[in-house]
Amino acid sequence: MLATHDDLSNKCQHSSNQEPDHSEQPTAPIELNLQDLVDRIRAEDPSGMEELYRIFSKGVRFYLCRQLGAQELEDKVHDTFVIVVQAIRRGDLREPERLMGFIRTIVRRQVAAHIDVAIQSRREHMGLDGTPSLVDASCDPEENFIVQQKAELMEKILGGMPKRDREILTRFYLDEQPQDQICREMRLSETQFRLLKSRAKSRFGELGKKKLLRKPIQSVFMRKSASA
Amino acid sequence: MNYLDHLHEDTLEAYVMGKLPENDINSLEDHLLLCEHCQARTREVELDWKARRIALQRVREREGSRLSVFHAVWEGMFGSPAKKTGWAMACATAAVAMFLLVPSAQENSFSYRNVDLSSMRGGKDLSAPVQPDERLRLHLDLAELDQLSVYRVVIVNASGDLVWEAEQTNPGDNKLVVAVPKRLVSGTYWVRLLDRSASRRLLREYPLQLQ
Repeated sequence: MLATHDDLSNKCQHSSNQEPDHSEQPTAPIELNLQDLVDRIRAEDPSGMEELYRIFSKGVRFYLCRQLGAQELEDKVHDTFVIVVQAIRRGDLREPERLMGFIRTIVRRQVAAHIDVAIQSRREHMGLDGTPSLVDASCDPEENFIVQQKAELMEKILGGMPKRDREILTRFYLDEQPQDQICREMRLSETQFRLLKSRAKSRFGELGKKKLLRKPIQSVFMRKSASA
Repeated sequence: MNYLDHLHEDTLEAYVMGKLPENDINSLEDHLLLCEHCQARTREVELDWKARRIALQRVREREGSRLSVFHAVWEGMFGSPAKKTGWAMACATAAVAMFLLVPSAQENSFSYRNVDLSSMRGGKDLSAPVQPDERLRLHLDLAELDQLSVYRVVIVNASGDLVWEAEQTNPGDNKLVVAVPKRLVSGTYWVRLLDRSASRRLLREYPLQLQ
């Protein structure tokens, strides 16, 4: 029996309700018994699918959200797991210890496929004046607000920073010059470069923690109208 | 990179900037599949990176507009040959003035060496090593001397030629401290303590040897 959306949702409902670990010391990911997990999935054991979802859903959701945005995210996550389970049962995964790379590859293909669909869709739905309407799919209004707040604070800090420190940051983050070029042109050793960059970034961190307040705003969730 | 290891901030930064080598991306993403802590950190690093770029761009644009103003002012001041000639003459005048004033300004930028002077006879080494940028702060012993409110201090060289003189107030503790702003070259000097009368009576004389 092939797993469906409903199967995965029903079986993993309680897993998705689990609260994330808020302890100060981050716990390292535990070593997984991948052979056992894959065997259970192949045997259509519900506990196998449940555990697969419990372990990987947050990571898959994180990756897809980062690449494609929050729109229809849960559907995409479920699609991914359906594909993974089907592929495992079909025997596409020959070595269970490669399960993570296998899932990673499937997620990347999902991202590529969704991007292709989005590009095609935009071409078909160009504006009347012939110009495509470009929407950043990864644009999250709350995150945009946070970025703008941080940028305002950073701008003030940059104004008071030594010119040399500012130049290093500008070359590295804005002009995206490689480190060796910056070191060569500014006559810095690698250690000096790392130290100056770290010092400059730490100024943002110190003041940001004191002044910046995260104000969660109600997320605006936009859906494209379904094409006929 | 092992998928069990948490990710270093520099690694995350390179990842969000798209600069991580392909080999490292695979193991990094394997870790992110499992680790909520590093997922949250990646989000933060990415937001910081975006904000930093926006802030740097704004600062660059602001500096660019300031530079445009500077260029406009520069053109206004030096845009024509006549203006350039006028500014050249003004600079020459300022240079001459500085040439005349700088030596006196330099007099204030040196350190003092303390030298204790007494009028004891014989035996004591009265030489003092002095560096070229040093001046002397003489501590003159006034024991068993007429106590006056003000003394005249005179320094003469071995030939008896006047080198420097000034009046100094007696602080009342048998020690007169005299700062000599004039640079003295190596050689033998006599530091004379005189009264302020017209006769300039010699009260005491101290030998001074500078190396």
